[in-house]
Amino acid sequence: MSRFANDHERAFELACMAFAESIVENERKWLEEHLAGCAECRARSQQTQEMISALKTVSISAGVDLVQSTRRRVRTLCLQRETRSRRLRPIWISSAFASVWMACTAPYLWQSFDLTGHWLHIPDLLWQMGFLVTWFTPALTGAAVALWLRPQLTQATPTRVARATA
Amino acid sequence: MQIAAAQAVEWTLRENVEIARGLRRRDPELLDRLIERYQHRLLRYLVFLTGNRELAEDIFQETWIRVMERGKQYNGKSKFDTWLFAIARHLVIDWSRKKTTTSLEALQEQYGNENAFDPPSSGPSPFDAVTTREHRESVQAALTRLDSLHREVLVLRFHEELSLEEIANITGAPLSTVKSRLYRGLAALKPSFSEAQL
Repeated sequence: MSRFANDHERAFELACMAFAESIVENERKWLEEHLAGCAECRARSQQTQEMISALKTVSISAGVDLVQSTRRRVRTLCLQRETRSRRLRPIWISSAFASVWMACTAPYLWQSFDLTGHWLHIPDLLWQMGFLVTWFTPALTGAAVALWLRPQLTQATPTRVARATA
Repeated sequence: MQIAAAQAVEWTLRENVEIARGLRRRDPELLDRLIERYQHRLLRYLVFLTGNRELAEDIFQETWIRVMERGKQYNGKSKFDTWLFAIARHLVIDWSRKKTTTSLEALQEQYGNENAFDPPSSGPSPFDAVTTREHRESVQAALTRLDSLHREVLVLRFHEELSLEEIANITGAPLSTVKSRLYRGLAALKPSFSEAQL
């Protein structure tokens, strides 16, 4: 069963589709034949075409102020992001360095603290604490640097952009 | 003819790749050029979508900021304008959700105004304005009565001249739904248009 109530409805939908994009050959033929024999559909199709042409005449333009303020804001945000990423770079580098340091030195540090602790008769808990402090020093330094830089990063993060008033 | 078309396609693809590269670098010069180039199309789409010029201008700014922030997500494989309109559309939906309205239609009911489609003073020349005024006013009147989803498809197809597939990408709707919205939009526009012309 056809999804169209009648041929006129089908003709209107096909005409709309023909205006929007090409339709297949047999549909185009059917539409042409129908329009040739149906004055009502021909008028409807003509009016739809006029409507589409009129739709293209609606003119909306962006104001100069809007465009300028948008460009200014985007440019400012670009620079802020660039500054932010530059400031973040040392943190990434120190984090990477700390990770490598911790991974590579763990067994040697442990051994040296163990030997020193036994040689100097230091209680186990004490030299183990000393090991942990030494082992974590680069990471703690990195964290301290990150904390120190955090207020500046927060300042560099743009707040939500409000409507341009310029 | 075919060679020219192929060259145009290749040129567009190359341009899209250049845009993608520039957006990854957050190149301010490129963003400037893009804003300049798409200013009217983007604002027009937003005004049609929201039915409110002031809101459209707010979202216009946010769209470009989002383009700058999410530029890395654009891969250059699709057309830039399709991607741009999709971002703008998502922002409109986000905004309408924040305002607890449920749909674009609700947005239109809540914020639609009669002056939404008025051109700004710095728009087309006075001559153009006079010659197209009558037609524009009748279409404007008819469009304001149309719901946002139908209006959006009509504008993207006939004003922005995007293909139906591109419209489907922007709206996230199946192609069949886009076709149906187009047909229903034109059908709904017709009585209003005829009435406005009387």
